[in-house]
Amino acid sequence: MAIGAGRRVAGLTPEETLRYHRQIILPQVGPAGQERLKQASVLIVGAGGLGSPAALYLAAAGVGRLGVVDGDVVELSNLHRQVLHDTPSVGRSKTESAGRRIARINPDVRFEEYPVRLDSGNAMRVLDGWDVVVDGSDNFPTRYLVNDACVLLGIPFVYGAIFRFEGQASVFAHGDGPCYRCLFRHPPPPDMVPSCAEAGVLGVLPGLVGTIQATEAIKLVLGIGDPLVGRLLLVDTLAMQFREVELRRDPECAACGDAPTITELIDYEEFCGGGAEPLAEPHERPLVPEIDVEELRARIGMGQPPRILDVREPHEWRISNLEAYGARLVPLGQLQDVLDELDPAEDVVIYCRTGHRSAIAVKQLMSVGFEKALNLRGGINEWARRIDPSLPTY
Amino acid sequence: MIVAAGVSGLPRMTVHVPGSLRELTGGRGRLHFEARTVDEVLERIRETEPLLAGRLFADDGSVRRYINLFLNGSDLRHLETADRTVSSDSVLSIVPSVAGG
Repeated sequence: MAIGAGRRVAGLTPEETLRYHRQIILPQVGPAGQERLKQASVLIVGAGGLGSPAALYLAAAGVGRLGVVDGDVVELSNLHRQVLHDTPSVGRSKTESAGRRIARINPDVRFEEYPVRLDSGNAMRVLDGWDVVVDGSDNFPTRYLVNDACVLLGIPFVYGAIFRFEGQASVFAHGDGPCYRCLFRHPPPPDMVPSCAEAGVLGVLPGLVGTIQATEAIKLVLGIGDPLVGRLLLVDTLAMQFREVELRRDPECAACGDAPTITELIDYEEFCGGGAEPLAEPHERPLVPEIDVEELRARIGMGQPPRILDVREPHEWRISNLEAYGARLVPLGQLQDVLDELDPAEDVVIYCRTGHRSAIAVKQLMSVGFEKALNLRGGINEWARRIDPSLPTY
Repeated sequence: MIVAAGVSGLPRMTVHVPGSLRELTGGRGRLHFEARTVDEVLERIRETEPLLAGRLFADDGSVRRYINLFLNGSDLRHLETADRTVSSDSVLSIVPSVAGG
């Protein structure tokens, strides 16, 4: 069933018929389908890696009303993947940049911008009235917020998420299908999953996943094909494999289950156990035993240097390191290989660039019996700032 | 290449480890285990991959609720006993929460 079916059809102008001709001649679309797209509204949460291709293709496809929610400004480091924005847009708000680009692609699209961060106070107002939501957000609090708001409002949303070389996509809150909470009842601890800023991401990956999201949004509007309802698509670009797993609605789901407990939006920052800001420095959230850079310097000065491990990659080690104090490079992915060489009773201080990967390393060591592992708060950048300014920060 | 059976004579199945968890397996994206059932596979993971097991399982042994395990595409939580048998072409997919966008 197409979303918004039964609405009065405005008809296509001759120019629109020409613009969308290659799409209109598809039997599954036709003039009626194109008119349905023209009448449809899609809201994109996040004008980042996923939201970029989604917005471009939905605008080009002729979705009549397109909204974009994003409170950030365009940064140079966004541009390798956020193809909605260009170099002259650096420093501008992402929604403004999105609006300019969409207007150039298709001036017939009615664009609405929300230059805000979606939160519990504004989400119901912002999301209400849209036919489909595309979730291109980049943090767990916003993902649970989008899910709950869409379930409460009865709006299907197209989910997409990426990490390094891999992505996920599905359609949630549609009909009797599952929602995001049915798949992930709880968010991971805030230090468990690094953001793209910390872990990196292949620029073209959100292009793939965001385009899948746009495809699903168009299918939902047109009511054609088999939407990704009850299916999670897994994309692995290194293996170049697309796999899918089956999802079911969880009768015990707090949002869409038989007896939902979420009847209004909650505090998602609290629910996810930390700040929603994906770039927040992890050292602001001490979740594993830590040591301050001053304290480490003092211990070295007293002739009691702990064993120091650097869990970054070799190219980062070449930028800066604590080799002068006996630090050893063990990239996080190789930590398991050196466990036999370490003494669980020994003091171990672990550092990385800012303290995120090293917090993961400390957790890993603690899980196998290392009781005296410590995370260097703020990482080597903090050491460079406060102890040894001769070291570069990056 | 799929090896039909391991030295034990049991089916040698495959576990897909997503990129976000490969730091726990020394970078390996495919693990192979010889087992009769998926529950034996989970036991092998506990025995041989302590870092990965620490991420997958809560203290009570249950799979953490921000990670899902799928045997041949079906959620382990929904599998009946008869469906928990593995064969040499079985694939256990680990699907963790990721938030990047």
